[in-house]
Amino acid sequence: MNRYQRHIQLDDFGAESQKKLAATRILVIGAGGLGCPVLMQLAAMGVGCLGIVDGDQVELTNLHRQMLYNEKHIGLPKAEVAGEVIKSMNAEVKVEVFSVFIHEKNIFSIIEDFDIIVDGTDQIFTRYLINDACLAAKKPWVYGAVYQYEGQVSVFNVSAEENRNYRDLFPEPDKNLGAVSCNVAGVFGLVPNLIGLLMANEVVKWIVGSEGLLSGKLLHYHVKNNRQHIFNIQKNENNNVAPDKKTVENTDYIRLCRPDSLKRTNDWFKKLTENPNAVLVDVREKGEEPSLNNIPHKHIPMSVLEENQKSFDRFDEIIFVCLSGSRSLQAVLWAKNNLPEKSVYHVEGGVFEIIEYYQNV
Amino acid sequence: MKVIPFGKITDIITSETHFQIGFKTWFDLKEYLMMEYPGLQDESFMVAVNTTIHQADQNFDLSESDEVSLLPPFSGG
Repeated sequence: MNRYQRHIQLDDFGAESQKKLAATRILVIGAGGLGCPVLMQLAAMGVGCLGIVDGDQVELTNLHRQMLYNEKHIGLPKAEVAGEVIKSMNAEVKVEVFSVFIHEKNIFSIIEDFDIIVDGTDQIFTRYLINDACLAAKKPWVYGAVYQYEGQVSVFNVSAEENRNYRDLFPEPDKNLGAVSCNVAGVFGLVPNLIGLLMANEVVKWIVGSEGLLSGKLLHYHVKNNRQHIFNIQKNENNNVAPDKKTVENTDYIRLCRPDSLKRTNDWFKKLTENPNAVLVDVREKGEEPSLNNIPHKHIPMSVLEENQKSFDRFDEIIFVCLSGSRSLQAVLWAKNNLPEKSVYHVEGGVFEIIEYYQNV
Repeated sequence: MKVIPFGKITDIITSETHFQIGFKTWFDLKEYLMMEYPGLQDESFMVAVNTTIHQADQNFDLSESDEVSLLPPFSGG
């Protein structure tokens, strides 16, 4: 009996469509809440190759929604674990693992050999990066995103004619922190799974060429009231971006999406020395090097920020720092929501900027 | 006229709201919403009338039976 017999039995699917699945290479960027269900469903259905891109490790807080992983995987690289699990689910599927974070310099070489791209990331800048790179490389991509109890799906850049894309929705990144990730806003466990399955459905529709593809449409689903909307996306006159590879490679997408109010604070030393109610907070996890020994600061890891909210009571100015400036930015976003009365900043250059500064004073 | 908040906008307009005032255009409605819900001024969002998405900075006509959705960017995953 054929493994895909139940597909083949479907009149309008059949052996032909199954062959098309087996001949397609799909890249899933982000093996988290959205990426897990996309990968699991496409692997089970017998696609040809799955590329998995993720530079992160499995964390305890992932497990309520990311069902590729279990407790034994905590601390291990997501892309590698996901690859192993997928192979054990279906040995016929070729798996290619990229244990890296996507950025403007590596995206073109990674997407090059794939037919369709799936965005399972959770940052606004990666959505603009994937959008622009897929436009430049002429690749279709499936968009999905969630917020608490809601999620949405679309298929962008299907062809030169059907080229509605993310910038037709939001031509430029929101500078007012409008889009926050699950790390900050929280997410109900089954929402990304539901949305991820809808994304996998669009991938399959695109592969077999069936009707009803969400090209030029934005599907929105709310799990609390089970309401579903499908909106039509119009060509946006403000979307004049026709990116080429070189422009994308030379754009700093993180900076592009960084809210104006959070620009690098290079006067953090001044703030710390002049304001007795200012505090430097290291949000790295325990044991991360280099340490800030001998430099006045508080150490509150990102993973316990929420439960230590009271530690900020006596300060009015908070300056977050981490290794590279990315977690500290997340901390700023968290504080904007949870400690709105405080002035918050982060040190873009990370701990090295601080250490270097103290070495020179 | 019905206004439906999505995503983060539900922090500001907490549920579907019916307005008896007959707003003739999106800008009329927008001006009223910004006054009624000042928090909206800091948010970026698109606006959908029934099933068609528009940019919030462009004006268009509205009719009494329209369903107006406020759609902020989503980025979680």
